[in-house]
Amino acid sequence: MTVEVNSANDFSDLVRIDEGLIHSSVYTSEAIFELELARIFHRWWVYVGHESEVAQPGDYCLKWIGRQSVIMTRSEDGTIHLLMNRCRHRGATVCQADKGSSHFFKCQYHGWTYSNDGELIGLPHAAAFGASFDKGSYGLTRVPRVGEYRGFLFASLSPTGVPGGQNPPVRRDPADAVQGQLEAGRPGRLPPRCHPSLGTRNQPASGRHAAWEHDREF
Amino acid sequence: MNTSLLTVANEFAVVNVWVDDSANGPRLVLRDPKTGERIYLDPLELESILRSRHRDLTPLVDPGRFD
Repeated sequence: MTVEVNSANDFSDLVRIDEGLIHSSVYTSEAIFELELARIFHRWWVYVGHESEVAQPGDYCLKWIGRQSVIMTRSEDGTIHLLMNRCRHRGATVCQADKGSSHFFKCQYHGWTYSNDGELIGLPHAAAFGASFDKGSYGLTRVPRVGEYRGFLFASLSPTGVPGGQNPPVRRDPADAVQGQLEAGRPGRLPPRCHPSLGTRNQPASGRHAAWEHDREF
Repeated sequence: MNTSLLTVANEFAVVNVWVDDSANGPRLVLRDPKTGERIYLDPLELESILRSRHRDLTPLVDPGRFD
């Protein structure tokens, strides 16, 4: 049975907290997925990654915030940047590889070239854009809000977010517990064919899956 | 005599690298495998690069310098 969200976006029939019941369509409905993108992933704080994924200056890796591709980079001064992976010229993705090490990114479409802190450092035939063209105004767009706690990086695509959501919603005790002990492996990507919340639900926040399926790893 | 050739590549560029001993002194060769274009860098030039910051390389990376 397929149950779609009703026109009023009322989920009370699908999520019955008191009974501990969540309808399976919450994980499969395209309409609910679009609502989640608009209300959560493109608006609220989203966990992006850990600073150890770009351990050395020049390291970068690609991340997704909802449907937006984001470059996570560490520049020469050690600062981590989250940049929209979209060339300011024609909107092509600047980085294609999931990870790498480069202090400059060159868009393969027309050669616009950026430093890994997002500044546009050069382009072919700049004179064609006129004397008033200002490279300084065409750096890669920064993710509007970035937060960090104990090396965990959070970001929001919304400059304002939601009321009361000015800081990343960090459960501080787990983050404190692993401080200094956590080092991410080399970034990789699995092609999941599942609802985007599945990973989160299987993290230790849920606990039961990890304890049952991965007990030998603890 | 040349040392073994290395290829250093990422999604933005591919470069062949080796040490060339065919001249009166050793030089590091950088070659673009697509075009064959190459440059021979002597030790003083290499030392200058190693004392540079990446920001100093910006004029060299700018594709507009070939306009």
